[in-house]
Amino acid sequence: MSSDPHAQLRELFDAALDLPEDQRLAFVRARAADNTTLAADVIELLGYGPESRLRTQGPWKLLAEAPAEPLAPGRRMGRYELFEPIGAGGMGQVYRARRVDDIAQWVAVKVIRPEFCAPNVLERFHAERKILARLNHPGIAHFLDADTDADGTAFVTMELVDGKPILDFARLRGLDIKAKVALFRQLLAAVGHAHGQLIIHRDIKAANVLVRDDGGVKLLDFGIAKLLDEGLEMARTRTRERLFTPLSAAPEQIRGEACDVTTDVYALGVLLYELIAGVAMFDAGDSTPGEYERLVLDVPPASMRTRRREQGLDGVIPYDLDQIVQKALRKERVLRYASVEQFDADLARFLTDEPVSVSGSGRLYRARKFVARHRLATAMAGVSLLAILAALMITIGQNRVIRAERDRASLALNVMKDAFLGADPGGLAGGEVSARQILDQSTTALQPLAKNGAAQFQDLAIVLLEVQLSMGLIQDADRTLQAMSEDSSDPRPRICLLTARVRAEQGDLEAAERELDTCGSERQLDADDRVLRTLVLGRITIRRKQYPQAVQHFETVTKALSPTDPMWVYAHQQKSHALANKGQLATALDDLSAAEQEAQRFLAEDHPNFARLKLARLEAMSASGDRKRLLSEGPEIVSVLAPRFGSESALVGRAEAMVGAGYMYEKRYAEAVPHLERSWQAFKATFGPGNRMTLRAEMNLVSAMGAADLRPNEVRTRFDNMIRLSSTRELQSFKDFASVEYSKWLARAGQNDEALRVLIGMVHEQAGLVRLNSSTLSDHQQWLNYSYWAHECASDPEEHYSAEAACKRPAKDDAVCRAAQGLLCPHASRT
Amino acid sequence: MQESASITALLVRWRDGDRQAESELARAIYPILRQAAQSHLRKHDRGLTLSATDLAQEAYIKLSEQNDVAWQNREHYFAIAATVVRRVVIDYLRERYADKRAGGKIMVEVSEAAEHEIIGSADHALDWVALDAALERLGKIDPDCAKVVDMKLFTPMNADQIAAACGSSIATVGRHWRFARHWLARELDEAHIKHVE
Repeated sequence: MSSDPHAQLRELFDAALDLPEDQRLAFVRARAADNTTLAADVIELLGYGPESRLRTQGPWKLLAEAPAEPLAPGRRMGRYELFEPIGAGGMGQVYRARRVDDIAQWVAVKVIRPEFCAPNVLERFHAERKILARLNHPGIAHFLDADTDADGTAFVTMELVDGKPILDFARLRGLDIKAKVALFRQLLAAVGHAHGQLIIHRDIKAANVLVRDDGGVKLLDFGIAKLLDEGLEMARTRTRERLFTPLSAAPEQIRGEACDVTTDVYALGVLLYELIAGVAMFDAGDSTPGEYERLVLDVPPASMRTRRREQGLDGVIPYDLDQIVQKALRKERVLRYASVEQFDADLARFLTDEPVSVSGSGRLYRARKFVARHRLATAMAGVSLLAILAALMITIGQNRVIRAERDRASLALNVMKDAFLGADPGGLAGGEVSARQILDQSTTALQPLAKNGAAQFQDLAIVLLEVQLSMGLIQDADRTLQAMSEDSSDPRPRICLLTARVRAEQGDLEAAERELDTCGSERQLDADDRVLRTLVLGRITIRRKQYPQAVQHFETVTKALSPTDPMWVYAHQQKSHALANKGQLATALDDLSAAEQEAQRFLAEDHPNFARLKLARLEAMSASGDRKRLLSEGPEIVSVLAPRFGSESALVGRAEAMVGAGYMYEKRYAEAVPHLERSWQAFKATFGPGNRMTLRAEMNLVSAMGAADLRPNEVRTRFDNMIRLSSTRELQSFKDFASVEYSKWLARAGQNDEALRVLIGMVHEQAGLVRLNSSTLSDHQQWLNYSYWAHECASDPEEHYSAEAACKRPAKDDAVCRAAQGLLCPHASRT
Repeated sequence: MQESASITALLVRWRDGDRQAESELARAIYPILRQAAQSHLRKHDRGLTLSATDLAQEAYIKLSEQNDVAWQNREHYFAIAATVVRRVVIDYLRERYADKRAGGKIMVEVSEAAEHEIIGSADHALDWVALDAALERLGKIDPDCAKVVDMKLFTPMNADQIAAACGSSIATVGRHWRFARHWLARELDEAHIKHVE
C-alpha cells in the first residue's frame, strides 16, 4: 500500500465499494487489520453513501471519557472550595466541594472542560435553571447553580450524592434479579417525573445513576447533556478523530435526530440490560466507532440469556424480563415503550408474576394486554396534560433566547398528539377535565403566541388544528386557522392542506378545491402531505356523493398509513361509509374485518382503534339502511365498548346515537329514548353541554321523547335549556331549528299560546327571519299559521286557516295573537 | 487584445505541462466569467437565479469569439473553467449575503443530477459555502477527484467528456465521483444539520 494516508484511504474505499454491500465491512477490516484508524475512516465513509445517510455524532461525544487533568484540591471555584475528585464524566471532572461562606453545605462541583464550553453556555444554563428547578424528585440530584471561576472555567454545582454507581452497588450487595428490578424502578420513577416536566435526560448511563447506602437511587446530570450539546452545536468545530462512542446512545442520537422520551427509554434499556445480565449488550472493546454505530443502528442485541451463555456465565434470566428489555431497546422508536410509565408497568407485573405486555413470542408486540395506550391517554387528559401545556407555554414564553427548544417542543407536541389523536380524545378523556376544556386551554394559551409571531406557534397551531379536525370541531378549527393566518405567510403545504380540509368539512367544496389547487401538486408534496391531500379529496368526493371516487381516495390513504395512525382508521371508516352508500354493505363490512385483522398485528387488543372500526361497522349499516342488522348488532357493540372505554366516552356516544337513530327510523321511538339519552350523556361529558354535537344529541333525544309522548316536563326543560345554550352567533342556526321544533312540540301538545310566543320570539330578537334557511323558514311559517289558528283567539268561519285569512281577521286585543297576525301578514299589520 | 493574447500564451504553456499556467489561466478568465455572471443573473419568480452551467457556456462563447484564443476544444476550456465558475458563484453568493440590503436569495443552479447525488435529496438546499470549503480541502488531498466534482457540478459536460478532458477513463471518472459523493456527504453532514434547522 502507498504511504500517503489519503491514497491508502482511496484505494481501500474504492476496492470495498466494488464489492457487494454485505461483504464490505469484513473486507475493510481484513485488509486494514494492522491499521484500525484507516479501517474506521473507510467504514465511516462507506456509511456516508447518499443511499444510506448516516449522521455521526459531534466531536463532543468523541472526547467523552478522555481523561482530564485533575484540579488540585483546595482550589477555589467561585464560592466553592474543591476537595477530592469523586468522579469523571463525559464533560469533566466532578469534585466534592463546599461553600466558602457556609461550610456545612457540601455540594458536587462539575468542572466543565473548556472544549465543552460554548461562549454562551452560562447564559443558557441560567435560562435552563428555571426549567430544571421544576425537577423536584427524591430520585433526581438537584441542580443548584452554574457559574464561572476567575479563569473563566465554567462549572455546575449539584446536590452531593453519597452513593455508589448502580452496577457496583448491585454487585457488592449481591442483589438478585427481583431486587435489581425493584432498584431500577426507582430510577424509572425519577425519569418519569422529569418527563412529566418535559425534560429529557439524553445521557442516562450507569455512571450517572448512584445508589445511596439506604438503597435510594439518585440520577445525576439532568438537563445538562442537552445544554452542552446545544452549546457545542453552535460553536462547532469538526474534529476528525473519533475516540469513543457512548455506549448508551440510541440509534436516533447517532443519526443526529431529535430526542424524545423514547430516547431515554432506550438508554434505560441499555442500563437495565447490563444491570441484569451483568455484561453490556454489545462488546465495545474491539469495535471501531463506525462498527459500534452499525451495531447500534442495525443489530438487535442478543437476549440477556444468550449473552450470558456466550460469556460463560450461568444463572437464569426470566424470559419475560428479556422481552421487556428487548422492547425498550427496539431500534424503531415507535416500537419501544412509549413512556417510562409503560416500561415500569411491565416491570411491576414481572415482579408480581403477572403476564407482561410483551410476553408470548409469536405475538411479541401485539398482546399488549395490560399496558393499553388509552390508559396513558386518560391520565394525560387529566391534570398532567394541563400541567404539560402550561409548562410548554411558560417554556416558550421564557426561552425564546434558547434556540433549541426543539426537543421540548416536540415532546410536548407528541404528548398532545398522543393524548388526542392517537387515543381518541373524545372517547377517553373522561373524568374531571374534558378534552374540550384542554383544547380551550391550549387555544387560549396559543393566542398571545400568535401575536408575538412565535415560530413555535405555527407548529402548535397545526397540531391543534389536526386535533380539532379529528374531533369534528370544525368551528374551532376555523378559528385556529384564522389565528394562524394573522400570524404570517407560512409557506408550509400542511397549513394549506388543512385549510382545504376545514373548508371541505364546512361544506364549501368549491373553496376546498380552490385551496387545494394552491397547495402544490402531488409531486411537490412530501409523503405525509400527500396522504392528507388524498384524504381531503376523499372528503370532497364523499360530500359530493361521488362514492366510487371516494372509495379510491380513502383506499389510497389506508394503504399509505399504518394501523397505528389515527387517520388510518378514519380512512377505513370513510371508505366503508362510501361503499355502504353505494349499496355495497357486504364489501364495506368485509373491508372493516380485514382492517381489524391488520390492526391486530400492530395494536394492543384494547386499543381504541378497534373500537373505532367496530363503530364504523355500525355507521356502514346505518348508511346502507340495513337497520335490522344495525339494531341487532348495535347494542352488542355498545356492550363491548362501554366497559372498556367508559359509558361516557364519545365512542359510546356515537354508537348509541346510531342505534337510537335506527329505532327512530323504524318509528320505535320509546325504544330509541334510552340509547339517545346515553348518547347525549356521553357527548355532554366529553364535549361539554353547549357543544354542537352535544346539542344535536339532545335534540334527537327530545324528538324521540316527544314522538313517544314521554316525560313532557323534561322535554320542556330540555328545549328551554338547548335554546339558552345555543344563544351564540355560531349556534344561531341550531337555535332557530330548536325553536321551531319546540313550537311544533308545544303546538302538538295543544299549548298554542306558548308555541306562538316561541315563534314570535325568534323574529323579535333578531332583525327579521332573513337569516333562516328555507326549510326552517317554511317550517316557521307553517307552524306559526297552525298555532295561530289553533289558538283560542282565532277562529275562521270559512275554515281556510290560511295566512291570507289571518290577515282578514280584525286585530285582537291579545298581544300574542296580534303579533302572530302581524307576522303572517306583514303588509296588513301596518294599518 | 492584451487579455486574449495572454490567455493564448498561458494555454500554450499549460499544454506543455506547466502546472503554474493553470492557476494563471484561471485568474485570467475569472473576470470574463464574473462579467458573464453579472449579466446572467436571471430574475425568476422566487428571486435571482444563477445557472452555473449556463454561465460556463456563455463565457466559453465569449472567449471563443476572440479568435486568437487557441482553445483546443470545448472540453479543454471547461476543464479549466469549472473551478473558476465555482469561484465566481461562491464570491457572488458571499457578496450578496454580506450586503443585506441587496436582499433576495440567489438560487444557484448546477447540473441537477449531480447536485442531487451530493445532497441525497432535494429536501434541503446545498450549503454552497460549505461545499466550496470542502472542495478546497478535497483539492489539497485529492486534486484529480476535486476537479471531477467541479466539472460535474459546474459545467454541462457528461462523464465521457470529463474523461476526455482529464485524459482518463470513464471508469476512473466514475470512481472519483463515487468517492467524492461519500467524502463530501461526510464533510457536509454537519453543515446540513445546521442548514435544516
